Amino acid sequence: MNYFPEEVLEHVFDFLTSHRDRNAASLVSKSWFKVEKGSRQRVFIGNCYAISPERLIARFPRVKALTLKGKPHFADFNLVPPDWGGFVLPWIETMARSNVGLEELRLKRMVVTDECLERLSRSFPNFKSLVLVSCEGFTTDGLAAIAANCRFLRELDLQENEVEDPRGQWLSCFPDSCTSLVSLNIACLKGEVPLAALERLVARCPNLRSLRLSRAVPLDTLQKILMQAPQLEDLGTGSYVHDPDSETYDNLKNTLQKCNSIRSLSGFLEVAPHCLPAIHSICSNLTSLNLSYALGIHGADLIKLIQHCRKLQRLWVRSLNPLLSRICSSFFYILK
Amino acid sequence: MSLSPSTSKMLSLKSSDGKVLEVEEHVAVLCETIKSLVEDGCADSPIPLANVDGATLGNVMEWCKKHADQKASADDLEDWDAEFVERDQGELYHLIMAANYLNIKGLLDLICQKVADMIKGKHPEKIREIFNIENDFTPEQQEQIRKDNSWAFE
Repeated sequence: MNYFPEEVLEHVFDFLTSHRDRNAASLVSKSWFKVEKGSRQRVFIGNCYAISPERLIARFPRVKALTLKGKPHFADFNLVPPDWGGFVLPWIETMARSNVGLEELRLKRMVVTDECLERLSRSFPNFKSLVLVSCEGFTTDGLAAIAANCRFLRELDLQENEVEDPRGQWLSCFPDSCTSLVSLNIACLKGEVPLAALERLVARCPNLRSLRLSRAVPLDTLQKILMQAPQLEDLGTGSYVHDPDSETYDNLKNTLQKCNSIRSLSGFLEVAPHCLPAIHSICSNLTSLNLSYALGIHGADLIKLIQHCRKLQRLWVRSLNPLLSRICSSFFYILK
Repeated sequence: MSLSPSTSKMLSLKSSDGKVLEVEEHVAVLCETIKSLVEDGCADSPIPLANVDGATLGNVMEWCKKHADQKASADDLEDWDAEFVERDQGELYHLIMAANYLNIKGLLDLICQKVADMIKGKHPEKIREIFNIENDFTPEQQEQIRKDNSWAFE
């Protein structure tokens, strides 16, 4: 085959989505290297000290989506000294200085300060997605900057971060013009949540598909939110505690019957088992059920719940007993 | 201007090796390059296509005809496309160049996807062999890229 012109080669590379294939392509020849370098928009860096931010930009000047990993896995068990590092600030500063058009940032086990989030929110006008997994060093003030300044934010996913929460009002910082959210996960936040602001935010984001709430969001707010967002596909409840003989509980039950799109359910950070029958109506559609934080659901309640989940493919539980194993034997995955 | 099949007139297309192909206008205008000529009233017959040989032009128009057929279902087209790209590399190369020159997004995507599939899962040495590409890196350059790739980007 003759050589492809660069514009055609770039088009071919658009269809190479895995890092491994793109890495192989970069080693074929100088012209393939050049085209791959100029067209790679998604970059994965498995160790933030393996390469410098400057080298990243030199290699992939058009990076739009960056995944960066910091501390090793065993940091989760406090086995890494506190001054290990893993700071994201130099990365954000270098990308901002180099006029990189960053749109997505995914960080795992890194130190993220409020200054980082502030810089991030002001440096990249088309920024769309922030995913922080097991990160530390920031407060809700940093999140307020993201909420206030990222006009096109589609995803804010906070997974298992240590977040200082001096004031719970950061959710109110999303401007009224923010209607673009597709995914919002605040399950790891411990502080107060401005419930009215949360309800308004959900109501004005018609494309919201994934919503995972924190412990501070009570069952009656969950009901009001679900009224506004029957299109949700992935739901994480906050505190699932209420009197089952109440109007609020009945309303929730009725509202859930209209939530036909929910395929994935998690949360139940606090739970009143008597309230579980309300979710039975959505169980038959579920393919994924994560109860790893639902310490209050066990024994007969758990088994009854699972028996309603006929299409389940993935189940997370804290502990598995023989009866549960038997019931679940038809599922593809059970994750402890 | 109506481009519907019922009113479609014929266009003559002349390939780089002098072959003339008569094609219905509503088929030929799947090529954006030809569509602009038609819309600007510059489609003097025959339209010279200096970068496409006769055999390739025939293949391209066969694809356009199928995709201009409003009766073809999405599934039908998918199966047909899968068969269409089962060709030797020389033909694929000419098709990709023609689709690029004639600006036919659907065909360009189809062939680029096919070429990408030929790259996927392969080592650089194998890719060079498949596409007959010379390795013009120095061993040092190659080692540096390999190192960066494995340390940071995998």
